[in-house]
Amino acid sequence: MTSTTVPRQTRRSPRVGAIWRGIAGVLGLAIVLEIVSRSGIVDQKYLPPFSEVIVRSFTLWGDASFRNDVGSTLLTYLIGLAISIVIAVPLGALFGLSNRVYRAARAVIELLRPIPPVALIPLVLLMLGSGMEMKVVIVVFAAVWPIMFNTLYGVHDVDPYAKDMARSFGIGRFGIIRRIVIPSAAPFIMTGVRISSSIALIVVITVELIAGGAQGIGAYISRLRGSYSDAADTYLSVLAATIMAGLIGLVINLVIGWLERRFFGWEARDSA
Amino acid sequence: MTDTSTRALAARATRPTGTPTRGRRALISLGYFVIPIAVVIGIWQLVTILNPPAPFFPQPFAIIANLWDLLFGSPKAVQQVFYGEFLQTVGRMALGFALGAIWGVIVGTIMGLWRGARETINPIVEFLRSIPATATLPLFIILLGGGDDMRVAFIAYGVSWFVLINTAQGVGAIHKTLLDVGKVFKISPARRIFRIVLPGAMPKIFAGLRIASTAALLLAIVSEFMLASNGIGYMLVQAQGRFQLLNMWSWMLALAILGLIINTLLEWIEGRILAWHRQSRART
Amino acid sequence: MTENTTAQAALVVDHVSHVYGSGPSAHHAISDLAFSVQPGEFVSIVGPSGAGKTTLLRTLAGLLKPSEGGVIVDGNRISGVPAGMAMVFQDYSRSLLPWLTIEKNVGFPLEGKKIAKADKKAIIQESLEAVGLGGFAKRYPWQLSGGMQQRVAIARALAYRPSLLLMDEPFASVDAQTREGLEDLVLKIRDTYGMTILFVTHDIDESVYLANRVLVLSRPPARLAADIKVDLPEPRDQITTRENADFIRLRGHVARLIHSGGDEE
Repeated sequence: MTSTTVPRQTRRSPRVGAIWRGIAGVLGLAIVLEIVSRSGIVDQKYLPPFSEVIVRSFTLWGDASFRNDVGSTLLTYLIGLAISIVIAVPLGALFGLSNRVYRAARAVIELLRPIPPVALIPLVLLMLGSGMEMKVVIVVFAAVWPIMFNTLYGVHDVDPYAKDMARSFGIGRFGIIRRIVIPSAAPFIMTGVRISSSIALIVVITVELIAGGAQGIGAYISRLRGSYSDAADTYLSVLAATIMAGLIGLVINLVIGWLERRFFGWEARDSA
Repeated sequence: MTDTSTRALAARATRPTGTPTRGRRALISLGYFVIPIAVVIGIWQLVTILNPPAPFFPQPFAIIANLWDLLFGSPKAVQQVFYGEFLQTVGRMALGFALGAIWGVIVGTIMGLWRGARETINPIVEFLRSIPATATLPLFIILLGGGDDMRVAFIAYGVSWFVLINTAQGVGAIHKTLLDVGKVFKISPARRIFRIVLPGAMPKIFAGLRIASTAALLLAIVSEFMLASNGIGYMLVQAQGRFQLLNMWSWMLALAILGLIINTLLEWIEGRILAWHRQSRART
Repeated sequence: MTENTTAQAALVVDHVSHVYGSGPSAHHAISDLAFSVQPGEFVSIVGPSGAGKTTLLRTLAGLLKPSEGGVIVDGNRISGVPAGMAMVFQDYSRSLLPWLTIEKNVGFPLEGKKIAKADKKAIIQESLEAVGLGGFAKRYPWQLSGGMQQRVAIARALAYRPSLLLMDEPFASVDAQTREGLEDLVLKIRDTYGMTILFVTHDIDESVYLANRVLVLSRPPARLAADIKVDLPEPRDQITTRENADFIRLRGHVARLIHSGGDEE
């Protein structure tokens, strides 16, 4: 049935129909993949049966070294994100409050930003070896930007009437910052953190993948590739581990999204 | 990334009180651009001269000189090799970007136009999208080997998600009335898509393309870290292996410049194609 | 003049009903509507706010397939959008393509149709002049006021050279003075081009002022509460016509019908 005058697609909470269709989609794809694989239409070497991939995704967690690697990745991610926040929020606030300073810094920012963080890997590898410090440095380089820009935007865009209102009540500069600017900018900062979080996780895994090292999901996958065991089995593990990486990212994103709605629900922002 | 926030900010920021003339404003903008960079470079240069040379941070002038040499100074044959590295990366990037963008626009349009399709495909998209594109490199290597088609496929795969999401959003946001206009005036479905839907969604699609271009460069480099024989990423790894810091920095500089060029190019294109969008937004 | 069954009706609504959704939450928008419209007639459709009027218009336009019944245009039962029919939408800001100039917007219905380029240009220019926007061809929609944008939409409909023009509360979002200008513009167009016009509105005065005939819909499920002939002197004038005794009487009649929800008075 056609609707009348409402804009076509409003994204509110999922409707019942949407949930059914989504489930149908996933199941449909799973069945197709399973059939295509088992019947040999696509060589099982390239496409293991869906069921086996699922099973392997679970049995992975039984492997202690995998669990350790997941822990290591998460630790690196958390440290990197925390440091990014500590650096980016004050900087972003500074830039948001002082236009002059921002304009002065802009040139440097615009030059640094386009550098793919992974391009720094060879350099940082030489400087710091392949341990956690190297990973954290690169994560921070990648993750500061969204937080910084969102903080900047949030601080800059504080409702001037709110500030005037506070000033008219005799609230001083710091009071204004504490009671108006920060709460007003907080949702933006949170959005920046959410964006940076997914970037941080991706970068951690990427760095682990490329720079090797002993720890982390990326390293786990890398090690698998280098192993000499049965190729098809290895592929299955690589597939499962990669999917797990995605799943972990999804879960983290959902958690942060939930936090965002819970504490900053009054100003829910879409991702950039 | 929050590109629009900085642009919005810049739009607000470039209105100083006591408005100087256009010429002076341009000069001031240039000053804001050149001076900080000069200061940073100057400090860096000074530090590396005064302190015992730290191998990891060569003198900036030396870096620039080296890059210049690599690209322009050495014998013709050698020059061509180095141009080649650039071109290899750019070529892969461009091809992967194009393929990924086309695929993303197609699927995104389908998802944007038909709610049924969107709801069915969405969970799959959300899940696949959350797998870091770079993490799929081992899979691509296993499936397609170490050659260029693997790289292009890898880049295309990673790029397609950004374009897909943005296209779906852009197409989904097109007001029903606009589509009704197409139907009422008996415009064929194909024409409706190319003359109403895609132009209408273009601002969002373009935003996705810009993000995707950054991703394409990044994925190209990453793909050149492993099993490669040419490209900027390969050059970086080579320099790393030989502890050639100067070369490494030079290639990083080249990479930054390449990123800047691509971004500027896209901004310029966007400025031309989407002038209508900017102006109509500016009015409100 | 009563329904002339020998001449071909421009439009016949054949016992149309429409229900949105199903089960207990179903919404019966319109119920068993039947009427016909002669070529060249100007028919206003009024009714209380609700899904009835727009549903009916969308059904007439072929954008909506009714649950029951059908629409016959020029003797053919339609499925989908019929040829020779144009529509002016209420939300003008959303109906013009913002990335096209005014003249490209007006020429949009001619896309893909087999018309020579020179002819297209002529049609566009003529349509623009008919709505008084001859000099605005190269502007963009966002540069125009709301009333002007709606004129562009009307010009666009004209360029299509329709025999049937549907208008969905086109002046609802426009200020009162602009509305008067636009109302007279529509009358002028009707006189110049002689097309059949169906005009949906919630403005009772407007419905009587413009039309030869007013169809009053009841509250949902909308039935045809009344089919009123409007025999006011032509040409209509914003001031004198509205002072006319018959106008006042007709308008009151319609108003009472609507206020009572469509019951006979």
